[in-house]
Order: sequence, then C-alpha cells, then structure tokens
Amino acid sequence: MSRSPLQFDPAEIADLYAIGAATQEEAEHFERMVASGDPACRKEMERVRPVMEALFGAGASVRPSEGLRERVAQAISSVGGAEVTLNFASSADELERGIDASRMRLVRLHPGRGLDSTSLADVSAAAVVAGSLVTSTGEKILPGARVLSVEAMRSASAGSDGCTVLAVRAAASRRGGALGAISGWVTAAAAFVLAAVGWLRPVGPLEPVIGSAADARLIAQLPQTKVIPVQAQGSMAPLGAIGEFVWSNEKQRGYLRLKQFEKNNPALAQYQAWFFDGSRDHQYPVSAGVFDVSQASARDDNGDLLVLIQPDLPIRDLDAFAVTLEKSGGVVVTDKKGLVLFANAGG
Amino acid sequence: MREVEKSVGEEASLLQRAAGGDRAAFMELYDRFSGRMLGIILTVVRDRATAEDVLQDVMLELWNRSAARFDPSLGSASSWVLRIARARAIDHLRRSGRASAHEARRAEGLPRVEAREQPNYTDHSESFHAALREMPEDERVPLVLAYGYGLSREEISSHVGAPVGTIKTRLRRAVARLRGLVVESGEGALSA
Repeated sequence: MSRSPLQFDPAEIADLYAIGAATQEEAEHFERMVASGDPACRKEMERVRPVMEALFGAGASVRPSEGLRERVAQAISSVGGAEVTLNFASSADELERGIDASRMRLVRLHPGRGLDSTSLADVSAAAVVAGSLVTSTGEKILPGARVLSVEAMRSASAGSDGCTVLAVRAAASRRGGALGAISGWVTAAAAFVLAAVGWLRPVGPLEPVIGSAADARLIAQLPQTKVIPVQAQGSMAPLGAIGEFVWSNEKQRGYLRLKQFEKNNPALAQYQAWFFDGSRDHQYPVSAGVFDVSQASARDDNGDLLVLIQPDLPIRDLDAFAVTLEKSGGVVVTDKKGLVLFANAGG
Repeated sequence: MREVEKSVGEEASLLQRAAGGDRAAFMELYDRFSGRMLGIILTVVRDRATAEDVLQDVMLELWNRSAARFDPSLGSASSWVLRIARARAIDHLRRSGRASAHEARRAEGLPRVEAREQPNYTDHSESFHAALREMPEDERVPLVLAYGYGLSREEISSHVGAPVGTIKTRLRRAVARLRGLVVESGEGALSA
C-alpha cells in the first residue's frame, strides 16, 4: 500500500524533489503545497533551491538543428484551441430539467490560457459544468453532472473567448468489493476533471481504431482467453457498455473491441492502456503504451474498432483493464483524471 | 549578481507572457533555453533525432499547458523548463523500453553529451562535475542514478543492492552535501 504524499515530511520530499527523485505524485503534491504558500514547504523549497539550480545548470548546451525552430514556430501558430459549446446551468434542477438554449455558448478553449486564472483547473471546471458539455456539432459529452457550487460561477476575464465557469463535480458512482483500490481509482475519475477539454475537437462520426483483425481473431481463438465487458467512463460515460477487452494471459496479449470511440489529436493527447495486476500495487497500474484513434484506423469484419494491447511488464493476475486520455506520448504514472474506459475482470 | 537576477526575472516574465499566448515571447524562450534543453534530453535519450523530437514535444507542451503552471516559488524559469525536458526524456526512455541502468553501472558522474554533438559546458558546470566526482561513492552513485539516469528509488535499490529506505537516506545525504558545496562556494564556482 503506498503512502499518501500528505504523510510525507516536507524536508524529505523537498530533498527528493530537488534531484528529480520524487515520484510524480510526490512532486505534484509538493509543487501544489509550495504554490499554495504552505510555509513549511516554501521554507524547504528555498533550502533546496541552490541544489536544484546547480544541478540543472550543470548540463551542456547543444545547438538544435536549424529546422527545429521553424517547426516549433509553425506548430504553435497552428494550435488554436478547441471549439466547444457549453451549456451553462444555474442549478442542479436546471441541469435536470434541461438548460435554456439561450445559455448555450460556442467558445474556444485554449488549454491553460484564456481563463481568469489561466489554469487548467478552470478549464476543467468549465467542462464539468457541463454535465452538459456538448460539442459544436451537438454531441453530448458529459450528461449527468451535478452542480456543487453555483456561487463559484465567474466570468473569465482573460482572452477574447471568455466564458463563464462553474465549479461542479460529476456525481461519483462508488464501487465496492475486493477491488477497493481500483474502485477508488474509478471514483476519482468519476468525480473527474476533464483536463482534456482543450483537446476536444468538434466530433463528426466516430472513427475506427488502428488494429489487425487477423491478430484479434488469433487471440480470440487461444484457450483460456478472458472476455471482459468494457464500460465507457468519464467524458465518454454516455457511450455506456461499448465493447469488450479480450486477454490471453498465456500470450500476454489482448485487444479491445469497441463499437465506437472518439478520435484524438495525437499532437496533443493520446489514449493510454493500463493493466491492474493482482500481484502489484493497484495505485500504479502497468502501462501498455499509447494508441491513437484516427482516420487511418481499421475495424474487424463486423465493423467494430480494434486496438491490440501488449503490456510493458508481465501480467500475472489480471484484475482490471483501463484506458485513459493522457498528454501526447503518455505518462509513467497517470493522475487518473482522464479515465475513459474500464473493464473489471473481477466481475 | 544583478545581471543574473535581471536575466532570471526576464525569463520568468517571458514564460508568463508565453502562457498568455504571446508567440514572440515563446520563441524568445525557445532561443534562450532550447540549447540547454536539448543538452539535458540528449544525456538521457542519447540519440540526436530522438532528442529533437522530444524537445519539440516539450516546447509544444510548454505552449499548450505547462507554461501556465510556472510559479516562481518553484525555482527559476530555466530550472522549471529543464525539469520538464528531463522528465519527458525519461518518460520517452521508459516507453521505448530502453533501460539506462546498465549504462550507469559505474555511475561515476552525470551522463555527458557525446563530443560529436559539440556540447558546450560552462566553467560552472565543469566545477560541478568535478565536485560530484569527489563525493563519497555511496552518496554519488544513487544521486547520479536518480538525477542523471532517471531511475526510481526502487530501481536504484535493486541496482546497488541496498534497501529503498537506505537509498532515500543516501540521496538526502547527497543533497545535503551538494547544498554545502554550493553554499560554500557562494555565488561562485558551483552555482549555475
């Protein structure tokens, strides 16, 4: 069982942070504490700051190739944020009754910019308001959210695309049973923050996923293959039971078969697959790498989408399988906020 | 000293302007930091083309998200962006399945960029590397494996054959020793 960073000694976490030896969870917690003005953490940060600066200043400088600067300049000029329509509700009742169309606003959200405190937390709040967030093509992303704090509504002041923000949280659906750590993981995601809102683009018809129908058939024919129903979560929860995860423990390979799935923009965000292994700490699921959903995707004979899955480490006892939406390239340890698919092998 | 403070202040300001969508400020940040970012990425991934891909991804991450999270209380703008660059290089290495532990078997010092890349080390960094080599081995090795090679505490434990708790203690002793060296040298040889 891993300890919460809240239990950590600020001096210890500061030492480890300074030399890049803190875990992602520890580092993020420490940064939040420092940024929030916690006196003990600020004091420790000041203590280790000279070490940090000296270490990072000890590296070499290497001139990048000429073309890289141009590529970066071009890339930032083409990143325009995501265009979405937000439904703004003034109360939970209004969310349930349905929101007045006059409250719907088409806005362009820039990740990390354009909102009053220029933080993703605000973008997330705007998204979760939604419970009723829809894309500009009318596709619902997040029905069923519950307003927790109406007074938190405020107007965005920065940027020309200002929008109104409500602090709300999706109702968490708790799960019990033997997979306690996993249920906490899912619950955290249910109360989730849609950090991905800036990555959402107006979606058209759902695209098939890259995969190989022949490989999938091969895996399905293996003896003792597990077939586990997959439930959409978080931003994709409305899609419900959208397919299955098929896993061969013997071959350590599997595949996702999905009726539908939302495409991603690989330059900004990618889907990442995770295994919960009964022989490992469920707080740190095993990554199976990242994948994209794009125009180039393939499908099986029934028209279902396929994603072949192979974990980075051996899986001894599959408890569950999940997919998150993460920053491009994936992450080593997920913060669990981008959960989009979950398959519980424990029943 | 004043010049250093001015530069640090300018860099923080550039980062904040970039977070607000100022493309010119962002490209100035690129001009100031890309060399050192590529240096730190190259020490981890060891391949120029891959390192430039990682650098491009980091720059886009800064533009899209991370610049807005910069807080001067968390260090200078340069250490902030270099920390992100190092983290993404390590992420890449882990995803690609290339464990670097075997390369760090002796762990006598921080990994260096190969000469053919024509790396530019400052006098400060040369002094720092020299000081590191003088540290007791049981502190230097975990420090180099953690910072230089991005190994987790558990991986270091396995690499050096000592319990994780012992590794943590040694890492903290190494930080204390480094801090002593940096502070002793005042604003001089060891500080960046």
